[in-house]
Formats: sequence, structure tokens, C-alpha cells
Amino acid sequence: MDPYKVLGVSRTATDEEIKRAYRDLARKYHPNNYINNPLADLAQEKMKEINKAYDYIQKERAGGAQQSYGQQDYTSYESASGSPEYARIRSMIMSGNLDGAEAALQQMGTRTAEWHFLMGSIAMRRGWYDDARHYFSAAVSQDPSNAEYRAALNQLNSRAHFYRVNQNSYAGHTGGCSSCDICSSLICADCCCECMGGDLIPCC
Amino acid sequence: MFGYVKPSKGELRVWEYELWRAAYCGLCHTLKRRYGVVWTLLLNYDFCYLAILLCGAKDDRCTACKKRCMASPIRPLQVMAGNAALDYSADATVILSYHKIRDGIRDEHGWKRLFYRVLAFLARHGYRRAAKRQPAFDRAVRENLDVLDRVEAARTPSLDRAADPFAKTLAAASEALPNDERRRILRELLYHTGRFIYIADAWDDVTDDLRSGSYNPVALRYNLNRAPDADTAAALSETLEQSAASAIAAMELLPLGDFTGIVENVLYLGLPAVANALRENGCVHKSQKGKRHGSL
Repeated sequence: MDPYKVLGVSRTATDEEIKRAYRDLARKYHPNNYINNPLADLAQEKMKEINKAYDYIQKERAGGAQQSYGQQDYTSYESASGSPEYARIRSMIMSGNLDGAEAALQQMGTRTAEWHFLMGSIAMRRGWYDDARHYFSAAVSQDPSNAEYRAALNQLNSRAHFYRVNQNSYAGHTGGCSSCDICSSLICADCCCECMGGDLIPCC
Repeated sequence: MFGYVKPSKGELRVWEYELWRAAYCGLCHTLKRRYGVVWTLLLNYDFCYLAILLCGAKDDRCTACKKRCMASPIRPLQVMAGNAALDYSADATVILSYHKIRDGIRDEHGWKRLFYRVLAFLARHGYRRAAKRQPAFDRAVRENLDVLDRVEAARTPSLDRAADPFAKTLAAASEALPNDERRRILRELLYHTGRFIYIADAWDDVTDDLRSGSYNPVALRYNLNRAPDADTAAALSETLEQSAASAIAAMELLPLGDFTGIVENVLYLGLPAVANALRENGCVHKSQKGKRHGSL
């Protein structure tokens, strides 16, 4: 496939335009936007395609600024579990068997922080964000020192924030977008990524 | 079912606005052709949105023609010519509306129940035809409405458990797509839109339901005995925004051709406009004060 088409630019586009198109797309399909999302695999494919196209164009235009896009490994739920039962449920969630995982959790008598966290993860995957908030908050209040639980709650909070940032840049775009709008939303998105431990703009 | 899902007109390009109008008129003409003129009264924006998603995702070439109608008897309007996406949306309109009428028979009393009985009697032929054309969608709607009935009877205080059956009903419309991958994406997109619609509708109806004592998941979830205060409204807006964000994440993966701009507009501007109206005025359409929160 034509790499220029993948990035949605013409062959005569300047390096600056290509970079901007690439960053816009990378921001759209960034793994952070698809954490706990059943469509994450498709977004990953898309991201690979964009990276490949961008690398290709960069190489083709040798001499232009070489910049590689570092794709971070976002934290998945592979971290250590307290008990083998929880580990089994985690793998059920990862494989998408949400009803099975929920049933297994409901059968357990004890409601530990991890129990709440896993219920929250199931709700998150289903798109049940109100329930997810409830369970993640319970997990964090039971075990405030656990980084995984706090990260999950932060990620949930940043969803709505991301939406507002994108919405502003979208509204600005149709109303005649200034370069200032683009920069401020990129910086904003970068800040969001950084507070999650990622990075969108490597230089700042 | 509610007309919440529509673009912010002022922010559409002129050709996009015309395309949206043409799809809306196209759905109206399709309803008239397939079911008769009375059914066009059920026309609403939510199914126009579905038609647009299906048209875009199917890569069908949409052609336009000029037609007169009762709303514009002299000047012919630009209308999207009949296609599979419009047919499916028209069938879905009829199926969902009929089940909404049946629901009215169960929920209402006295004259109102009689009124719904008459409606159901008049609508039965149209419904039978639609159910024959889209048996899978009809089955999905019936199953999910049964689940919704149980959720209502148990007075479940969870927003998400209450919204799930309706969201799944809408998501079932994705089976109209032949392509597996696109169907999967559209199912997510419709699910999150459905969750948004259901919760927004429940929020819209809080005061009326509190007065009448009907089931309302928003009132139960936040233990309300009057309209939501600022904190509750902020929490509700946030949960709605999270659904909108997920709908956008799915939309970005779905190639929609000429319809991309309209769908982006709906998700980025149309949906937040609904949430803002709810937060600021407590209702979406001022004129509709007094309508009950239906279970659909």
C-alpha cells in the first residue's frame, strides 16, 4: 500500500506536513486510547501500518530529520497475582471470557482489593465505566499502595480528559484551526501520556 | 428512539449537511415504500445515524435523486436513493418501535394502556413484515428487552447493568455488515452509543420518574429524591464522556468514506451537546417536559 496514502498526505507534502500527519494519526491510534478495549488488536495493527509508512517515507527522503517513534509497552494485566485463582481469572479476562471471569469472581467469598480490581477490569472491558469507577475506587481504598490499581483508576479518569482535549481540537479544527491550537492540544496530550508513564512527544 | 444522536448543524460542511438531510429523507422514503406512510411518523435521528454508519461501512455507492414528499410538496428535495443500509434501518425502526409499543402496554394503565393496545393492533402487520425481513435483529431485541424487564423489576441500582440490554440491542444492528472485522468495530461503536443514549435518557427523565415512582437507574444509583445536584451531574457527564470516547476510539478504526465528517461531528459535538443541556437545564428538549422515561 502507498505509504503516503496511509498517512493521508500527498507525495509533494513537506517533511513538516508528513510529521504532523504522522503525529495526528499516532495520537489517534495510540495504545493508551485502547487500553482494556476489545478493539486494541486492530488499533495496534493500524499503528504498525502508520509506523511502517512513516519509516518508509523517512528512509525514502534520506537527509530529512530522522525521528523514530518509540512505542511504549503499556502495562497489561500480567503482573503478579496474590493467588493462583486470581491468576486464572486474569488470564480469562485477557482472553476475553468476561462472563466466565465474572462468574468465578462472584463465587469467591472474600472481597479483597484484587477482587475489586478484577471486577473493575471486567467492567472496563465491557464499557461499563460507572461500575468500573466504583470497583477501582474500592480497590485503591483497600490497598492504596498498589501502583497497578492506582494506574487503572487514573487511566479511567484520563479517558474523559482525552475526550475533552480531542473535542476542543476538533471544534477548533472545523472553526478554522490555528497552529497554536494544534500545539496546545499536542502538549496537552503529551502531558496526559506522561502522567500515565508514556510519552507522545519525545523531545518535551 | 430518542433523537439524541444528531450532528451539530452549524459545524457541518454544507455538502455534509446536504448528505445528512438526503439520508434522513432517504430513510423516510424507504419507510414509506416498505411499510406505508403512517410509519414515517416514527422517523428519527438515531436510525438516520445507523443508516449513515451502515452506508459508510459498507462502501456502497450512495446515489441521490430528487423527490417530492408531503413535507415539501412543491420543491423536490435531494434524497438518497434506496439501498440496503436504508432498508435495514427502516426495518430496525419498525421492529424497535413495535416493541416500544408492547412495552407501553405492560407499563401503562387505564386509557393509556388502551391507546397502546390500539397502536399495537394497527402496527402488527408492519411489524410482522419487518421481523420476517430481519429475524436476527428481532430476536436480539426481544431477548434484550426481557433482560431489561428483569433489571427493572429488580430495581437494579447500577447504571451499567440497566444500560447494557439497550446498548446490546443497538449493537445487534451491526450484523447487517458482511465483513467480520468491520462488524466487530461497528458493534463496539453502537454499544457505546447505546449506553450513552440510555443513560442520557434516564437522566433526562429523573424528575418525572421520581414523581411517578417509575424505575430510573440514575435516581437509584445516586439515591436521588430531586433533580441531580452539581456533583452528581459532573459524575454523570463524565461517565457519558467515557462512552463517547470509546465510540470515537471504535469510529477511528472504521472506514466511513464521505460520512466520516458527519459521524465525527455527532460524536465530538452532538453527544456532548446533549450532556451539556442535561447538566445546565436538567432536560434536553424543554418542550418534552412531562414525558416518562420509557424502558426503551
